[in-house]
Amino acid sequence: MVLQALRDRPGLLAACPRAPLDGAAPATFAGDPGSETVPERLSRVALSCRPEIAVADRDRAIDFATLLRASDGLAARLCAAGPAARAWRSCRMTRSGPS
Amino acid sequence: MAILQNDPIRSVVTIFASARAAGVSANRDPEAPADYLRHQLALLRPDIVVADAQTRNRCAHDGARWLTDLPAPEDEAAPPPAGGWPVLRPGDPIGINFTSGTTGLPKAVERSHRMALTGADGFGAICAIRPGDRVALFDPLSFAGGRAAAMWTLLNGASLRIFPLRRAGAAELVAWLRRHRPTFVKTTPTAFRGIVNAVGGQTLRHALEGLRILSFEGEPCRAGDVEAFRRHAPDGCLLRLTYSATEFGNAAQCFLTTDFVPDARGVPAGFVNPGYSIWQGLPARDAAEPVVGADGTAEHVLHLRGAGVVRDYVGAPGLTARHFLPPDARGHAGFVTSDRGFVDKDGLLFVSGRSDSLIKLRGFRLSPDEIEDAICRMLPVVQAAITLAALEGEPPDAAPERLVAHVVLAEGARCDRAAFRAALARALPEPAIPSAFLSVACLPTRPNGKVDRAALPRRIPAAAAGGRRGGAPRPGTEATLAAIWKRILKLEEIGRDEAFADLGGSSLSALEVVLEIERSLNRALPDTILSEYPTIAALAARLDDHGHPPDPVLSHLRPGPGARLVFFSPLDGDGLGFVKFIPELPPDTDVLSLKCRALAQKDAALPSDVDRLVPILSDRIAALPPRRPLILAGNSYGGVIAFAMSRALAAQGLEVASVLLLDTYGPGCRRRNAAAAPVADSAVADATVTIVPGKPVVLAPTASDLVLIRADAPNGLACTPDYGWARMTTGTFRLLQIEGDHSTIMHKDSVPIVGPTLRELIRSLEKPHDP
Repeated sequence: MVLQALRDRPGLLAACPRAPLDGAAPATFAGDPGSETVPERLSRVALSCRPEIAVADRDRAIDFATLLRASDGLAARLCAAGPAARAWRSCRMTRSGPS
Repeated sequence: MAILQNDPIRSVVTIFASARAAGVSANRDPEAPADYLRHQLALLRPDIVVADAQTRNRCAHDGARWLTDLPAPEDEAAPPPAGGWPVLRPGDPIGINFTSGTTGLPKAVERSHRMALTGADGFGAICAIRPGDRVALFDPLSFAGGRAAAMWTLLNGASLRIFPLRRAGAAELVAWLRRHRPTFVKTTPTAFRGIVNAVGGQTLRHALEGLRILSFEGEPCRAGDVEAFRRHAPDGCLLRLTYSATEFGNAAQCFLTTDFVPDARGVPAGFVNPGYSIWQGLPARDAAEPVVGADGTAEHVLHLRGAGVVRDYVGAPGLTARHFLPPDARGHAGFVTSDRGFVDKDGLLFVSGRSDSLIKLRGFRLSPDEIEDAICRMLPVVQAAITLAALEGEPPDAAPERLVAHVVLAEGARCDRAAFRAALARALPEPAIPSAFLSVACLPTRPNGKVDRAALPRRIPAAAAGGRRGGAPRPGTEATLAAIWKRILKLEEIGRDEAFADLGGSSLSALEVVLEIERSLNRALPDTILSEYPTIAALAARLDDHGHPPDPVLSHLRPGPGARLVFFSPLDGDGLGFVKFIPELPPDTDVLSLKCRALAQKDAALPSDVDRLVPILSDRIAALPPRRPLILAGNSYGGVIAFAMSRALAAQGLEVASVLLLDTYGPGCRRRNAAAAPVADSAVADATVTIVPGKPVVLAPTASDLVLIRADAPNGLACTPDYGWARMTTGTFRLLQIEGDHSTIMHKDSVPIVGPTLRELIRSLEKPHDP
C-alpha cells in the first residue's frame, strides 16, 4: 500500500499510482486485467494462497477457498437445473442481446 | 438470474456460481416491497430466480424458473456439468447492478468480467487487500457497492465477513467486531453514525483493534464523520473516502489520518483516480427545465470519463441518452452526474451535494446536504435530514414551505430550537436555517443504509414550529398581535419574545401580518415595522404608543415589571441590535434602548458630545416609573455613554447596580501605530477616552459594578486585558473574554454567550442583598 502525503495538508493521503506495489502493476483503475475472467481469477487466487483454514459460512464469513468449492458445486447444479449455459449467454437483459 | 436471498453469504456464493456457469446475475433485496420487486423482475426478465420460499410466495413472477432449494455453501460440491463448464470471455457480462434509487426507481447497468477484475485489481493494489485481510460489510449485497466489495475482497484472497446490521441492530455489532477483528470495514457514513450512536458514550476503539482501513462509501462524508473516525478508530487506522457510483465505479478516493482537519471547503471526496477525468458541465436535464442558479448563471454538475464508466442504462434509452457520453478513442464512456462539486488545482475532488435535491424556498435554492453538514458540525446532533414540510391542520393542498430539520440528538442533548438556530446562524445564511427541529430516534434509511429523505413526513405538528420564549402574550395588544401571527403563520403557540423570522415568517407573510394589524387597529403602519420590532412584545410596546411618532431617543423594546436594563448602542446605532438578546433575559425584565445617533451628528435634536448628552438622557431615564435594579449596558462607544450615565444617574439619586460594557475600549487602550491618535489620553490622569476625534471624554470612577465582555481577536490596540476599566469602579469588576472581534460581539453568534451572562447578572442583582 503506497500512499503519498501532501504538503500543507496534514492528514490527507493520496494513493500513489506511480509507485509499483511489491513489483505489481501500478495501482490504477484504468488497467486491463488481460484475458482472465472472474472464475479463472478465483481459481488462480485459491491456488496461490494455499489457505490453512477455510472459514465456513455459519458465522457469516467466507473465504475464497470455501467460496470456490461452494460456487463450483452451485454452478454445476445451476447448469443442471437451468436451461444450460446457453441460456445465460442469451439472457435478454444484456445490452448486446443474444450472443 | 435474479438472486433474492436473505442470507448474504449464500448470495455471494450464488453470484460466483452464476459467473462460473457463464450467467449474468442481479441480486436484489428480498425484503423490498413486493410491487418494487415485481417491477425489477419485469425489467430484468430473468430465466432463473434464486429465492427464499417466502420471497417466492410474496412476489411471484411468471416466465422464470424459481429455485428455492439450492444447497448450502458447505455442502459437497456437485460434479461439473456434462460437457464441461461453458467458455467465457473477459468482455462477457457478469452482472446487472442497480442504483440505489435515490432519485426514483433504481436504474440498471451491466458490468463485464473485465470491469469486475479491473476494479478488483485497482482496489487490491491501492488498499493492499491480501490474504489474511478480513473485510467486514454492514450493508446488504443487493446494491452495486456490496456486490463489488464481495468481488474485490475474494478476488484478492481476503475473507469476507458480513454483519446483518439491518436485522441484528448496531447493539450486537460490538461483540461481532471483537469476534471477527476486521482489518477493513466498508460502510456508509449514515450506518457508522447509527453505530456510534448505538454505543452511546463508549468508544469503538477496542472493538476495532486491528482495523487498518475504515472505508466510507455511497454518501458524502461530513466533518462530524471525520470526528467520529478520530474518536473511534484505533491508532494507525486510515479513513478511506471515495467518489463512486453504480454507473462509473470508483472515480476518486483519498485516505485520511486522524491528523486531518477539514478546512472551509469541507471534507474532500478524493483525488481523481488514474484513468478518470472529472470536469464541470451543464446538467443532463430537459431543455424545458433550465437550471439557473441564484446569481443567474447556469448551474454546473460533475461530468466524468473513465475505464469504469458503463455505456448505458439497461432498457432505458431515454435516460441513457441524457446521462451517458459516447466512448472516446480509448473506449472510455462518459457520464453526466447530478452532483455539484469541483476539482481543485491538486486534483482533489469536493462534492457539495446533488443538484436534483436542491430545495427551492422563497426564491432561494438551498442544498440539504450543506445544511445537514452544518447541523451535524455545529449542534449536538448525530444525524440530520432536511425537508420542506407543511403544518398539520393546514389544507391538504398547502405547499410545504417550512424548512424542517429531522435530527437524531447526541446522548443527553436537548432539542432547543432557539439555541440551534442561533448556533447555525454562524455557518448558514438566514433562509437556510431550519425553522423547526424535530427530534427523532432514527432517520428512515434505504436498504443500502443511505438516508431516505423521501420517507420523512411532509407534515409536522404545529407545536414543533412554534415557540414559547418570553411566555404567553399579555392581554391587550400583545394578545391581538399573537392571534394574527398564529393565524397567518398557522401556529398554535407563540411566545412574546419569539422573533417573526424564527417562527418561519417570510417577507410575504410579514406583509400579510402588517395588513392584518392595520385592519385590526385601523391605522397605517410602515411595511418594515416587523423588521424593526420583530417580537410580539416589542411590536405591542411600539403600537401602544398610540400613533406617537417614534421617539428619537428612547425605544421601549419590551416592557416588564422586573429589573430595568437600558442599552446604549454605539455611535450611529438605533438600539435595535439589542433585540436579539432580549429572549435570553429573564421574562419580566424591562428593556429600553437609548439611541445615540446624535453622537454621529445625525440627529439635530440632541447634542453631539457626551458631556451635554448625558444629562439629557439621564433626565429621560429618571422620568420613567422606577424599576430596580437598574442596569446599564453599552456596546463599543455606547459603553462609554453607559459608564458616564451611571454617575449622572447616581447624582440624581438613582442607583445603577451594574454597568455592562460590550467590547468598549477604555482608558487603558492606545493605538499601537499612531501615537497621535490615542484611544485613551494618558495625559489626562489616564481617564480620558477619545473615540470620536476631537471629542475626548473624561471619565471618573463610578460606584456601580462593572462587567466587561471583550472580544479576544487582536484589535490593533496596545491595552491591558481589562482595557483599563478595572480601576474605574469602586465596586467590583468582572472580565469575560469571548471569541470574535469588535464587530462581531453584537452579532447573533454572540447571543449564546452574552445572553446567559446578562441573564445571570440580572438574576444575581435581583436577589435580596445579604445584610
